[in-house]
Amino acid sequence: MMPAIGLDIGSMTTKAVVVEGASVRARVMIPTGSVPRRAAGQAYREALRQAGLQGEPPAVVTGYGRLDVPFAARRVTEITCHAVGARFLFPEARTVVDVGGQDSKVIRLSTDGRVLDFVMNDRCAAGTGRFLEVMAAALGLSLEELGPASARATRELTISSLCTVFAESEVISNLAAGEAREDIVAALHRAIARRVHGLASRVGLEPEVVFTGGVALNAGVVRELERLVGRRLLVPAEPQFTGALGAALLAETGGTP
Amino acid sequence: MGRDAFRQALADACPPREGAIGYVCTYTPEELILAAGLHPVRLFPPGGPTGPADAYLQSFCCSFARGCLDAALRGRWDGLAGVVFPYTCDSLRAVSELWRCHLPTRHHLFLNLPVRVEGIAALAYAAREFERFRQWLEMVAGATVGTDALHAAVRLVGAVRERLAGSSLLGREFLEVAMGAQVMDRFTAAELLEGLAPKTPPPRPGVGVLLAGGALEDPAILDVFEEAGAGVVGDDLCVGSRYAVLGAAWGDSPPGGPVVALARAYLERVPCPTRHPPERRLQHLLARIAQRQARGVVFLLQKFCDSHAFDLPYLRSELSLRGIPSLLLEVEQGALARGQALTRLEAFLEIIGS
Repeated sequence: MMPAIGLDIGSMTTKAVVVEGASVRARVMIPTGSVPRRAAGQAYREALRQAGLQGEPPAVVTGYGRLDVPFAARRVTEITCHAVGARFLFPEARTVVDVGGQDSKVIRLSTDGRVLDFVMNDRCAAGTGRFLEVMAAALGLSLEELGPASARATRELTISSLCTVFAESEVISNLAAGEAREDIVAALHRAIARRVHGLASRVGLEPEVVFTGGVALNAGVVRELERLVGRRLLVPAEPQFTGALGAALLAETGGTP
Repeated sequence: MGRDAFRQALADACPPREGAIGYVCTYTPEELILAAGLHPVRLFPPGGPTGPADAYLQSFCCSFARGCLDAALRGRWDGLAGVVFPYTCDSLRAVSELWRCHLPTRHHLFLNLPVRVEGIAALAYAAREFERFRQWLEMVAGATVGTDALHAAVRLVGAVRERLAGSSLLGREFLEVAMGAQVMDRFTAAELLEGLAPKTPPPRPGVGVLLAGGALEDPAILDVFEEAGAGVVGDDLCVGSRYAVLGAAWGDSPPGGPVVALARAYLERVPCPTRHPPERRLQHLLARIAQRQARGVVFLLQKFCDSHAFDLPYLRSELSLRGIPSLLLEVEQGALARGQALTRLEAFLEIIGS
């Protein structure tokens, strides 16, 4: 089988995955920046270089930037690509929860892996990676520090607002009131988990549930979401590449989603 | 000519004619307006951000109602001789009261039509309200609404509705014509519609979907469907085909008289979600899907429209039970959030097209 490439041009990062048969030959992640098509071209070339490939194999593109990639052979939505990617990694998957930079989505799959239904967040950034990014900045932490910090929480606080702007105000008020950052971070994770769980409830959470997207790297959010769902979530080793992986798999088969 | 005239009528703020009576909801019996020698003009707000109306309406009021008040406050419909609001929903009721208090339109009427449309009591109630409307129109026009004039108006509006219902236009083109016909002079609309019908139906574009929902501001909202690769093969929209399905036709001497017959026709039409029971709407929706061979249904919901939102779980679950996929898209200020709508639509097409 010929190598194939998939690109996921997200709001914050652009990912490229090269697959050949059942194995991943290369993966690349770069910031999307303000010109998505430029990031797409850069990730495409870098992934091919890492995979040691000559020529320009056709690319399946997904993500919000998919609409503006001149060299795309085909564009497929994130919904389908995450479903294909998650199903490849976990054949028993029946629900995919994806929380990316600016949107979150829940996808329900049939036993044979077809997308049955999906739901996406509204226009605001509540319950997305951007929400966590803003909160991390308000707390003076990096995104990577959020997960470990919440594991050290000792007191249960509540962030009542799901609006990114209002929640940031609440974070600042809590800091001013002398609350520990760890407790605030845990409260934020509970808030985001509540939001995602509420979204998931609209389409139903059929096990097994796979958690994809960059936010799945945050152990605190995973823990809180597992608590609400009432079962362990399946998290890929590199969850942020799931959409690009699905796109690459679609490019490889050349088939319909 | 042809479709351009409908587009132009829709773009014009208000037809420059004497005796124009504005209305928002299709439960307005425009036959009575015509019979009084006046001109029914359906009010479509232009879409986009609002300004003056924001001082009067809560943030949870839908942008269609807000847009109506806003356009009125900005003077868009200053030329109206009168305006009539049948009871539709709480938001439009508020718009009606605000209009009465803050706008210079000389004549204003609120029609209190029944919510439950079945049964003899509903008919008697609606007929009394239609009769009150007739008397109000006589006062506005300074003329009598005679039986012959009412019969003629029923025939005229019936011709417009029939030609729209039989039109083979699709998607944005159909919506432009349907909305334009509700604004322009009805004689002109009937004539133009007669000449507009293509002899052969146009090819079905993309994956066929049916649109369902309530009021929309701008037919351009359908462009995103084309961009996504969907073909809008029909609709069940209050601004579109639902206007066209009214069986108001009777013989020379209908029981109870023509006003009662007209009230009966309005109560027997496909109910919109502001009316009960919803089962008839489901049956109509299923018939439209079958007739238009749609692969799925896209519900266009005005954000904060409680009436439509209330019926959605019922309609979607009934469609799902029959294996008919559906998608919900929210409309605000006459538009869809393009990027998100495109993703949702493309994903929906990937599901129903696979």
